[in-house]
Amino acid sequence: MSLARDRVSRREGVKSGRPTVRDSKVTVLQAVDLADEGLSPERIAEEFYDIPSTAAVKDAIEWAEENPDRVSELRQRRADADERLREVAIDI
Amino acid sequence: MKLPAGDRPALTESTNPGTVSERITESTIPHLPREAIILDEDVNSKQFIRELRSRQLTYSDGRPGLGKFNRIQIVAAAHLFETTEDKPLLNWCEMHGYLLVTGNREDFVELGNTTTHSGILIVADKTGLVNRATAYGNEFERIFDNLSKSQIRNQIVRVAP
Repeated sequence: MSLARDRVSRREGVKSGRPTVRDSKVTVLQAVDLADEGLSPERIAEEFYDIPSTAAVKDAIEWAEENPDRVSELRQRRADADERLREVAIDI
Repeated sequence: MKLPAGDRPALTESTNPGTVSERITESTIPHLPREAIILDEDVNSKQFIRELRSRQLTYSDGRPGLGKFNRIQIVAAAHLFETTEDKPLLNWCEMHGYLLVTGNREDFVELGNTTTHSGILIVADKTGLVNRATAYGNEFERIFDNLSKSQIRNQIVRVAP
């Protein structure tokens, strides 16, 4: 299943349907986080085997910029999962 | 699907995911090494993989069979399946006794608590795999120095250097 203008992908069995960089399993949120830390779309595409192109990263970031409310939801969901992870993870 | 110890291939420096992909294509999944960790696509950072491979990761508890290979092969999940859905991937890892490394805590914390598995290592900060790859490599090395497969079975480890 594709979202607006096919800039990102969404598959139910992958990341529970959260938007991913087109044709990859890298989430849009991960790409945005990397961009926020100063990595260029070219570097992000180069770094991850699963990302098909720089254009796919640029499209994902553009989609995120146009959907801030959705991105906030995704961040909150991740924060909730982080909290749960801290509860269940074993100490090494 | 597991091969007897004597039939398992020795590990070499040839840990190129492309090579693994070719093996899968040829329906030779049983020839994958017994000792491997599988990287979900979201932790499939080239820098991180280089860090892991450069360390020649080993389990330290000397379980039979591990010394034969003396290192753990790093396999990228993207090269195992056309589309890697979360639960089938976890089940596949369990079938082969492989640990799964992922950054997807939104799904794998729940899956890990409701499904049997060989162990899940969840990376707390996926951007760190690129920007702090060495620190993550060190942390994985520390974890493998302190864990055995039996200890991590059905357990979730949060990896946060």
